[in-house]
This record gives sequence, structure tokens and C-alpha cells, in this order.
Amino acid sequence: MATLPRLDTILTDAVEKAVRDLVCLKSWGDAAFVNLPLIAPDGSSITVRVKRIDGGFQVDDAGFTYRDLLRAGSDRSFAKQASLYAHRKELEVEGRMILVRVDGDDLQRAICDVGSVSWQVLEKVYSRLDEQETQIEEGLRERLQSVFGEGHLDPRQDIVGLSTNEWKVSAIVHVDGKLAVFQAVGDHANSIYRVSAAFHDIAALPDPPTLISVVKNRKALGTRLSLLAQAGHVIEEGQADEVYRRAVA
Amino acid sequence: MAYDALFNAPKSLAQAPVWTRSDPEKAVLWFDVPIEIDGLVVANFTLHGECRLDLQDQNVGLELIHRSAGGYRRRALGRLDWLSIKGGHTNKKRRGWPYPCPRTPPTHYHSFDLNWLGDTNMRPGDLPVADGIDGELQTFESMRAMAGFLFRISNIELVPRPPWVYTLV
Repeated sequence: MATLPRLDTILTDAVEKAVRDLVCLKSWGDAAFVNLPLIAPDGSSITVRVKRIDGGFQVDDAGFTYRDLLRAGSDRSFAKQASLYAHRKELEVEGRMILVRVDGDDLQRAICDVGSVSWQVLEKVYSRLDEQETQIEEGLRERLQSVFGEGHLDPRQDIVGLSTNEWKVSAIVHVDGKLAVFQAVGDHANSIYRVSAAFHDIAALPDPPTLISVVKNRKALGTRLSLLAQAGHVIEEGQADEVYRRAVA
Repeated sequence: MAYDALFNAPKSLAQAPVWTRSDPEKAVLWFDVPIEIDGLVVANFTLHGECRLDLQDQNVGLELIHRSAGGYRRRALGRLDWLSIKGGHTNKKRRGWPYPCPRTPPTHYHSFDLNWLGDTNMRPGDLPVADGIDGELQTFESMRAMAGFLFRISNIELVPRPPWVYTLV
């Protein structure tokens, strides 16, 4: 006997509710803004703008990608990352905007491409903010244990500065009655500025520890290297044990 | 002052802000105005406003920002997004994180409390949690008043309407 397939209303209701607002369109003035089903790392929806131009349409990100990076302190990454991803999709980067000019037939694809490039740029930059420090830090504690011996590595990973703010650091080492603080630093602005602020605060203590920034590649820091050097020693993670020992001496 | 003390203190704007066009975009309007607490203009603590010239009566963000000395580190302590052209904010459900709703309306509030980890830290990622707010904010003035209430800024009316240009399309 044939039976009718049962409708799973809980499933369809849940999915309908989730899908309903995945794409939204808002027309305003001479432009249409499209919220795409792509969530940026900050939780906002990737949004593209469409405007009419001679012979077709301009699809762009209205500068949102740049503004989002600016808020995260990584606006300097925009030009490089946007150019890289835009080039792969045959889009352009003009100033602070990702865009493409197309005719009507190509509009759907263009909206998807501009949206996906915006999302890729944000994902890339945000993930780098977290990953670099973690990667360096993972190897750093092991390395310090091998250079100075297990008993010299303090299990604590925080230290209070003159402001009474408690700073999280990668490692604290005791050598010959002295204290040294090691901090893994990524090559992006946020990481450098955070360490710079922490080290200046710790250095202002009456009896400050030796402060050492550990970076992957000094050249990659550009002019920001001098910011770190103002606040303490800077070494590369791959340098010889002797360099680590000299840093705390 | 610690972040929670800064946020919770009764505040006032130290002066009337002026909306400025951002070069080279020209489309973005913004201001940063210092905050006063107990007669003291607090260093590196500002109300930041941002909107777009081409999006009248919508898409305004007002944000309380603390910067480290020298301005290197920017830490947002709360943000009210009004009728965001990017739509609602999508919260991420993670263990131990507040999860007020899956997705907020286009007008939403990244509150200090939802994004404060306690001790000395905010959640990583620029105010990643947001919630809707009670009541509809249909005008710039009503949004501004709400921001004053949420941020505890007594003279929020000093924030002028953005110099939006209204054109017939």
C-alpha cells in the first residue's frame, strides 16, 4: 500500500526561518544594497552595493571591507589582501573599494564575486590576527624550557604593570635571580601595539623584568620594528640558544 | 580607569562634535569627541560617530572607544548600530558566550555587558555579541537619545544631525 511521505514540519519551519533573511535588498537613492548570506568575522552581513552606469552596472563593496578592517586596526592590510583576492575573481580595487563593472547578464555573478572577495579579505586578515601569535607562542615555551631548563620557566603567564593592569604574556623565565618576560608577537599592527603598550606599562615598574619580543621575521614588521625595540629586546624565534641567553642577561 | 569603571561612570561630552568627511572616500562622515567624567576630560576616551553621506536617516553607528596612550590600541566598549544597511548582526553560538538571539534587527546594540569578560578583558573580535533593543527608533533624535541612555552620556543632544543632503531621485 502506498503511503504519502510525511512532512517534517519542525525541519521545514526551522530551515524556512533560517533562510528567510539570508538575502535582503534595500534600495536607496541611486543605489541598491544587497545583504548576502555571508557572515563577516565581526558578525555583520557582507553587503554589496549596485549602481547603474553607462552600459550596465557597477557592483562594489561601498568601502565596507576597508571600514571593517579599520575598526579592527588592520586597515593597512586592505590594499594587499583586496588586490590579491580581487585579481583572482577579475575584480578591481580602486582606492578603498572592491568593484567590478558589468552588463545586466553578469550582474548575479558580479554580486556573488564582490561579496565573496569582501568576505575572503576579512576572514584572511582576522584569522591572521589570532593565528600568528598562537603559532609562535606554541613553540616558544618549549624552546625556553630547552634553553633555560624546566625549573626556570614560571607556570604563570600574567604580570601586573605599573597601571595595575594585568597583562597576559607568553612566558616568564627566572635566570640568576632575574626575571625575564617573553612575548610572541605577530607582524600585524594590533599585535605589535598591544605588546608595545604592555611592555611600556611593565617597564615602568620600579624593578622591571627584562622584556623580550619574539617575532617570526623582523623584516616583516617594517617600521613597526622600532616600536617594539623601544619597549624591549626583539629576537626572531629561529635564532640560536645563545641569542636567547644573551637577551635575558 | 578600568574598562568597566569607564563604561559605567556617568559621562558627558566634553564638546559638541562636528561631523567630518573622511578623505579620500568622501562618502563617510565621522566624529570623535572626548568624554568627560567628574569634571575630568579622560585621556583617550571618546564617543565615535560614523555614517554615510549617501544613506540619509539610517546606517549610523555610535561607539564608545578607549585607546591606549599614543592611540595604538583601539578598544570599543559599546556600539549602537541604527538601521544598519548591512542588516542585523549574527551572533555566534559558542560555549560560555552570551547568546541573546541568533540574529538581531538592523538596529542593535553591542553592549558592554555582553562583551565584557570580566577582570580586564573584552571578548576578542570588536564587540562580537549584540542584541536588539526595546522600542523602535524611527528618527535620528530618538536613536541619539537611546545612545545617551545606554552609554550614560548626559548631554548626548550635542551630537548634531549628520549633514545629510536630501535629493529627489
